[in-house]
Amino acid sequence: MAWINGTTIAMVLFAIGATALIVRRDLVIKLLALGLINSSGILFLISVRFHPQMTVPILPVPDGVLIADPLPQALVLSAIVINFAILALSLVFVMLLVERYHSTDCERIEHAVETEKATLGSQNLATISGSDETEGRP
Amino acid sequence: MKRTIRTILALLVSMLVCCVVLLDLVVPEAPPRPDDTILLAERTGASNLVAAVYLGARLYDTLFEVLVFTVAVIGVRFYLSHRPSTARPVPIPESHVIQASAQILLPLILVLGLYLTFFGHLSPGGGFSGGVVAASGLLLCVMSIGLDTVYKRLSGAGIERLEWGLPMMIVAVCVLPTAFSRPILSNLLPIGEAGQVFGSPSILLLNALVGLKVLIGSWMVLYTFIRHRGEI
Amino acid sequence: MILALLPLIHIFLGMAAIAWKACARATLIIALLADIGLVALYFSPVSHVLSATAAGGWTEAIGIRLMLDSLALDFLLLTVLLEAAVLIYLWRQRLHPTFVLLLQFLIGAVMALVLSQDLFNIYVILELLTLVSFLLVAYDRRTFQIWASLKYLILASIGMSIFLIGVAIVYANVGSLGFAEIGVVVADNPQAGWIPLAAALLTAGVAVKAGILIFSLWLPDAHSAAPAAISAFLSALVIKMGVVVLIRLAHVFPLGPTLKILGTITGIGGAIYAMSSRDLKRMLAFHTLSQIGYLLIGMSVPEYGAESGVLAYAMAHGSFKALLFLAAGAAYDVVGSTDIGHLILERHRIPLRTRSALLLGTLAIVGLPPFDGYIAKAPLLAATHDWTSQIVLILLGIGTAASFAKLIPLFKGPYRRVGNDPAWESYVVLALPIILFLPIERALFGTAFTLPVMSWFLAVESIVIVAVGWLVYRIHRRLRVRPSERLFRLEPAIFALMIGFIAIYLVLRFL
Repeated sequence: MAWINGTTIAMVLFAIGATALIVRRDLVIKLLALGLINSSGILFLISVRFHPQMTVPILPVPDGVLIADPLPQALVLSAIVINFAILALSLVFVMLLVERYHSTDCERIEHAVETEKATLGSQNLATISGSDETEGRP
Repeated sequence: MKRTIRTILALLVSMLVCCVVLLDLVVPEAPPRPDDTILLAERTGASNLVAAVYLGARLYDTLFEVLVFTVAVIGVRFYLSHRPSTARPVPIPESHVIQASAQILLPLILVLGLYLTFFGHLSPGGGFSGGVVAASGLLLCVMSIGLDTVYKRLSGAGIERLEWGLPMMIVAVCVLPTAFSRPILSNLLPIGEAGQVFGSPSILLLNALVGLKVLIGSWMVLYTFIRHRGEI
Repeated sequence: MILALLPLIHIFLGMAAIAWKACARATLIIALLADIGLVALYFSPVSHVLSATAAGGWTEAIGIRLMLDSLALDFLLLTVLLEAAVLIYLWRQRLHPTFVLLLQFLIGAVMALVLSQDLFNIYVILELLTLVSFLLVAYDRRTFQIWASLKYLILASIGMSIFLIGVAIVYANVGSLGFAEIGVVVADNPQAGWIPLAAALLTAGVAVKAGILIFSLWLPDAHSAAPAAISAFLSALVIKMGVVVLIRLAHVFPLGPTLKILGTITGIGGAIYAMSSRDLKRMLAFHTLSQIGYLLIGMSVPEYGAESGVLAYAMAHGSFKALLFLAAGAAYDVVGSTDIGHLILERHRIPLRTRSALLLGTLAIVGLPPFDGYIAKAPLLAATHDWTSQIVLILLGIGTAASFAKLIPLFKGPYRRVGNDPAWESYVVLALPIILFLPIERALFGTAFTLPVMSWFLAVESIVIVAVGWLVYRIHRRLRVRPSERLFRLEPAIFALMIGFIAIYLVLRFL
């Protein structure tokens, strides 16, 4: 079936990831859904101009055989590293929040942050780290 | 009830986005231009065209991507290392199967990582994948010897200084072609015969630097996540 | 060749700051001097070394091109100005090497973005900007900051994925990623089927970072939570990067009506929220949204002179918004809170220089005649002949005046010489373009500025707008209406992003 190709699957993954990101309340699942959305973008990028008769873009290539476009594959390398960076850093922040509020529920954390802000004033919230090593705080 | 409405709405909107893109997607069937292929192979001397693209024509992008990786490593270390480290020690697996198989597998994994890095311009691979493979080998090492031992041995070898030095070296390799009156971000070293190991020494050099950077960066991220993993 | 060197210097110096921890400050000074030197080359006889280049000598379609046009020059000057001001502001504080590194990367990425003419290069640099500003916003590790930055990262990441899908479609149809080639192919066949979809994806992706209301619901929290110097940088410079990308996209794709609708919604929505906000930094952040709406409407005006008006206003807004944020940070250091009621009660404790900086910033931002808010707004008002745009621009001016009218009690009352603001020199650096804007703009953009600015009609119009704004503020205070801030939570924000993308697509397809 010609309509099951990379682009279609990529968009279906995007839809699944977007739904999960909005609906599920657990922060870690939100991050997994974000990773899914990022991966769907990558899949879309490499499968846009691909058809199954193409071969690997490594010379030497036998005559008459089309090679896949190397440029999107190079772009995808960058995109994968960027997704890794985003996932690692957002996991760090989720870890900090979960440790502070003892829950991974996004709505509870949001509610707690807003209540703290309203009662203490937005700049007086507790620092998350143990010691107050805020050097260089402008 | 509100939850159900939200779920249905979210599903509808996501499917709508998906359909909008798919139904309007009309892509011409155009094969890649053959003159670009010849150009890439000639100017960089690499037979892996993807390496020729991301370390030759689009080196500027790759430079920023290495910076993104560096920023990620710095962010993870800075934000997690201020917390007290976990009191629970990292458990060394008691099973001897893991320790024995790690001793056999580890050299293979590291050699695979090296091969991917240094032959990345001739066959699929490159600095990024080679570095990640070698870092997973280090993780296997941690699981068999123990986190502190591996950390002590690696830090004693000055791995931290190397981590800050490597992006500077990569920027230097990008800028140095001006000394040979070539534009910035082009080949530093002259090209040899295409298809040989030293056919494109500058791509080899960049792959090696990037591979080392990814290895050290991934190791630091893994170490920080294990050491400062915290409790719920 | 030198164009590629500008960001590389910052990157190298940033890594040097963390490799040799003792000379972190020295790297800031070296970077500033190098920037001033390289940008000054533009005005010297050897300016041809700053001409358009291709990175690595790859001039074919597969390479990356860099160009220093008037847009890039405007933002490079703004970057140098902000770099100098923030350096002076931070001079007497202890600077951690990590902070210096992140700051240098931020500046380097901003410079690389305005010079770049390649779509994927823009994607990578925007992601770098996202990550660096995400780390800087949460630098103090307070809970509010961490939650605000996490929201920012998630929304920006979704936006960039949408952008990537747009890049894929553009590449599939054009075969190259440079703006020159894309422009040629789009101009060849403007009714092609892929153009609305690709333009909608790219615009929706960049809109998350550009500060457009439906997409950037992270902005008020993130900009008000950040430390003061970082807020100044973010509001004055980084948010404009999204607008820069939108300007470049608007040159190749037919985005006119879309930008007008987005600008109207952002401008008016931002003004309404700014009027009802009681926290100084949050109000400044909402007001940034409103000014981005101003820039977008300016971009949608096809007449000559509108684009230089937009660029001039971007630079002017950068200068006075940064001044306001830095002064707000200094006031917070003394009073301990950014709530406007608190600040008014304790205004006798705020140093005189801080208060005068706030006064100068407020006068400039509402557009009173001799300062640069007026000088930058006037050409845009004059160039707009479409009456709907004119009405919206006037409404935005009224909204700005109405939101800043609540700061009037801050400037009345006891003036005692209390203490000294340690960072007042940075206010002077930022006040220079506020007061001397006309000569600077004339040097940059030629005489397109003289005629509209000297018109009495526009000057009187600006003063009337400020007066009406003050009246609106008094009426608003009686009504005590507060728009809901539940829209700015995480899940509604993501939902709004999706709906916004569909809306943009429909507008582009059927208008």
